[in-house]
This record gives sequence, C-alpha cells and structure tokens, in this order.
Amino acid sequence: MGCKLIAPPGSPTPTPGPPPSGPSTFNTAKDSVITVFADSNSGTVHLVAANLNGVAVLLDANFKATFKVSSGGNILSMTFVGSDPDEIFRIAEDCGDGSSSVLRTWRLKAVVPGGPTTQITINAA
Amino acid sequence: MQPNFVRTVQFACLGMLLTAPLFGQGAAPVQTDPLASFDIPTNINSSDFPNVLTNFAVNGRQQFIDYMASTMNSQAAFNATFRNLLQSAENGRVDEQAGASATSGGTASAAEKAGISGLVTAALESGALTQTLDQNLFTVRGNAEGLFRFLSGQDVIPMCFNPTDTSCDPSPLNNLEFTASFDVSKSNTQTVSGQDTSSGTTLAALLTSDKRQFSSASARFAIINSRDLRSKSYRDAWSAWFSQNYKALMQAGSDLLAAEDQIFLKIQTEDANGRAVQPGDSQSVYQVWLRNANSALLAVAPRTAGGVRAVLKQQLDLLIAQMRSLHPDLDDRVVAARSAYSRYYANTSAGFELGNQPMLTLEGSYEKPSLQPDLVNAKLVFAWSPKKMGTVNSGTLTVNGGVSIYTSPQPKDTIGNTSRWHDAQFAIQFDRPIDSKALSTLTIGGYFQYQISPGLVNIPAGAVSPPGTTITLPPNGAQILSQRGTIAVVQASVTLQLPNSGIRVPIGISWSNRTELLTGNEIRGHIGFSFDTHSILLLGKGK
Repeated sequence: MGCKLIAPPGSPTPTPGPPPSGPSTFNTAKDSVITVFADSNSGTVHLVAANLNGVAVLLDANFKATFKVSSGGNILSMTFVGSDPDEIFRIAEDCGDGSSSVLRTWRLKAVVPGGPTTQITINAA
Repeated sequence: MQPNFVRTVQFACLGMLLTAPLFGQGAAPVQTDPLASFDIPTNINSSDFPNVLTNFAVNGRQQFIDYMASTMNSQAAFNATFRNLLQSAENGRVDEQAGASATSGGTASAAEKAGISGLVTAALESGALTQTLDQNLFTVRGNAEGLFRFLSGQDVIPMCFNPTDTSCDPSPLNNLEFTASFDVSKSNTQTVSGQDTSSGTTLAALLTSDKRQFSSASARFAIINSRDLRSKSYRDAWSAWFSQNYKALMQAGSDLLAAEDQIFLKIQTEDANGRAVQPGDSQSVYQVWLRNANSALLAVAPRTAGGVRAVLKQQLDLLIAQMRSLHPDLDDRVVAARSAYSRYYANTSAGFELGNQPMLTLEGSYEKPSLQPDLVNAKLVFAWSPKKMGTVNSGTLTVNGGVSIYTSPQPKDTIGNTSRWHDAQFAIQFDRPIDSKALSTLTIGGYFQYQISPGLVNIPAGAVSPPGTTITLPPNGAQILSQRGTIAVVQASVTLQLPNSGIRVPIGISWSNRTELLTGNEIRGHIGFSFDTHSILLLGKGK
C-alpha cells in the first residue's frame, strides 16, 4: 500500500526526545484513505478520539483512525490518553503491510508544545 | 533576649506549623501567569520559534483556552485544569528523600522517605534531631541506573523511536540508590556527662567534635516502587485500567475534541470577512493572524522571555478580539470546552492515581557519628498516600522501622559486659503539599528511638574538664557511658520549592525529650537546601 502522507519539503524532522517535534502539515493525493494511530515505547498511549474537519472519525479496535480526505485542506484533530504525561510518543501513519511512518512526536503534558489534543493539516490534491 | 521569651517564640512557631494543615487545604490558587504553560523561557530558544508559541492550534490547544479563560475573568472555573495538575505532577512528589537520615547530625526530616532519586540529588542540611552534636551535613544521592547511563554517555531519560527497542525500559538498577554524607561544619563543642566504662566513675567532659569528616554511606533499594511512571508494574496496572475504561475515555476525548473544534475550526475555515475558505487556507483568520504574530515575535530584539511574552500577549489578545467578533458566544464555547476538559481530566486522572501506590524501600547504612563508635543500620521505609489523589500527592504517610548495631562489640555497663546492639527506631511522618502546585509542602513527623544499650562517647584528644570543675578525665580513646533512655522527637517543617528547578529548601523546628548523649529537652531549628538534577532533565535542559 505505501505511506500516503508526505511532509512538504523543508519541514522539521521528528526526533525522539523532548520537546515534541516534526511537521504539522502533510500533502497527499485527493480521496486517499489514511490510517493514523499513536505509537509509544510504553505501549500505553492511545488515540481515543479523532475529528476530520469537525466530524468524528470512527476508531477501530486497535485505536486507529481511518478516514478519506477530501480535495483541499483537511484538519485532523486528535485526543490521546497515556500513562505518563512526560512520555514522548509518536503520531504515526499505518502504511499497510505492517509498516508505519512517524508523522510527528507529541506528549500529553500540557506545556507548549504538548497537551491531550493536537491537530495536523492534510492538503489533498 | 530573655530565654523564656525565646522559648515562647519557638513554641509559637511549632504551634503554627502544626496547625497549618487546618488552613492550608482551601481552594486551589488562581494561576498568576496565564501564559505560564506557554513555557516562553524555553521556547524562545526552540528551533521552531516563533511558530512553537503562536501555532497553538497544533502546539497548545488547552493552553490557549486557558489563556482565553483568563481574559474572560472566569479563572476560577479553570483552577483544576489538566495543565495545572500535570505541571504539579513534576513538582508534586513529596516521597523522595533528599537529605540525610534522622539519626545523623544534620537532617531536615524525622523519617526517611521511600522514593528513589532519578539521577543525582545533593542536599546541605543543618540541625540534628537525635544527635547531641549539631552538624552541617552534605549528602549526595545517586540512582544506579541514572548514573550508569550518564557516565556511559547514554540518555539519562531514554526515549526510543522503535517500539521493539527495550533499551529504554528501566532496569532493576533504577530501584537502587547510593548515598554518602559528609560533615562540612566547623567543630562543635559540647559538655557531656556519663560513667567511665572502666571505673564506673561519674564524670563530665567538654568535648570538641571532629570536623569535615565522612558521616555515613548507604544503599537503598526500592522493593515496591510503583510511583515510578516508567515502571512496568505501573504501566501494567494502567493498561489494565485502560482496557476497563476505554469507552468512557473515548467519549470524554470525543467530547473534548468537539468542544475544541467549536473554538478552533471557525477561525481556520473562514476569512476575515466571514467567507468560507478551505481548512488551513492561507487567507483564513488563523493563518493571517499566524503570519502577523510570527512577524511581530521575530522582530523582538533582543529576544528575551519578557519581550516575547509582552508581544505574544498582545497578539493573542488581538486574535481573541477578532474571535469574539466572529463568535458572539465565544465565552460560552470556552466554558463548554472547560467542562469537556474537566470530564476528560476526571476520566484520565483515575489512571494516574494508579501511580500513587504504596512504596517499600530497604536501606542499609554505615554510620560514623561524631565521637561515637561506628554503626550499621538496617531500615525498612514504607510510604502510603491515604487519600484518593490525582497526580499531585495530597499527602504521603511515611513509616520507618529499623535497628542499629555497632560494627564491633561495645561496653554496655561498667562491669565489662559488651553488646553489638545499639538501638531500635521507629519514625512516622506526613508530608502534604500546601498549595495545588506543591510549591510548598508541610511535614509533620515523630521519631522514637529505644536505646538497647547506653550511648557511648569516645574521649577525643583535647577533651577537657568543664570550666569550674576539677574532674580528672580518662585517657584519650577511653569511653563514657551516657544515660540509657528512649528518645522521642516531634518535628514540623515547611519545604519551599522553586518550580521546575529541582531546588527545595526545608525549614523546620523540632522538640526532643533528650539526645543520644544528654538528658533534658531540646528545641532545635533545621534548615536545608537540596537540588535534584532529575527535574532539570525532565525539562529537556540536560542530556
């Protein structure tokens, strides 16, 4: 299947340690079906809610959000829970065939940058 | 100054400290700086500056909502926000021991706490609880795993990208701590009386303590350390809790997003004239504001926290004014977001409470008390938070039980009998943050020591008879038996903390019925200073 979300050239690269880092804007082809999830070393961080342009996205049993993007801008907002507010976790795309791609890192601790919610923007063309 | 007056003041201070808990648990204080959670001093040095501060829709949704709430004068509704509580989690631990033990010559706590340091903690404390001679003790504590990682060039708080990488998991060394204390005070002089162990003669001597000497060393192992958020036991407990509560968490998370989108989506999907644009369009209210705000922040020169803060506040206020014109009901939306946030927090905080389980630590120490025979001490330390809590400890009860033995048999009477047993100890202490961010903590403790054998004093070189007496002292190296008895100490202290710095200053007062070598009441003051490197690492300011 392959990864569908591509960070624009010049975007910051996500790094493992604090503070959270990485791009917040991605490009993709219109009508792409994307799957996003939370990945962590502790195994305790989960995506528990996602909205695409204000509309709730259903999560599967593995707490992954799968959605189809419309042409133009798409704002995906997400809520996470986890066992450790300081843990730096990964917001990742499930690229299928068992592979995934780290979109950016994040933490639950509500000090900028961080918090229980965040958003990414997906431009589809 | 009259001694009675001094004693009255001392008792008044003790009484105030003891009754402070009755007044210290009121409503959480209002956040004084509504931009505190933007962490401007750190973020002005970010490679993502100024976007890290301005692009709040990505980097700090709740922080911006908090700020909006502060502008609508309904701060009271936000006192219990997630931000406050999570910030406090870092500062709020009251279970970590920083200084020396209660039996040392300089300490700030009646009981030893059960928590293990994260890397290295240093403490300087003055004022003994049970020892006759006051000392200034410098104590260094080091976590075995943290030190190993630090010395071998690894990250002290490791983070891995690969979920199958187990190198980030804490090892059993994470529960092991080493401690060393050194007396850094000038020599201290004290009149001590007792019986000559060889002749039984009652005598008194003016003794001068050693100075700048090794005082004690110990190893501590946390047998149960479920308060460590990185521990496997806590993560397992949290995962089990999550599997039972995920539906409620998903609902709370969904409600939170819906409420936030009511605030954030409109400014990202409309231009200044109210026309619909693509989400994230460059002409949206948010993107136009973002460009202007970034330009304004980049123009701040020199780039100081104060300068950036003033401009950021100005820019945020401009946007909020624009949002109010777009959303006449903005305040209602903010209140709704707050309500959703409270429900989210109420759900998630139950999971964090799992981190506040009882702790049990075993300690073995070698002590070298001034002018007394060397001791080996074994102690069990138990800590328990008796009240249901969030991430801030509303109170931790610590109980110690231990025994001390001499490293070699010592005289226990004047007829030649010897014993290795020195004493048995029991201590109980309660630590409670006074404010919601645990910037100050009240501690009340009691310490009881049953002296199995009488205290012993080694006559040092230079010992003289007390002024006005003509007692002939035994030769250097001889020993005096002090009067046997139970030592009881009550202590109250307040520990002040500089937030996010790792710096704590305990100030306290204690009363004891006697000391190791002397009978008679003692009231003493205690003050200390400790620095915990782990707090700095959590902020990302070190490796």
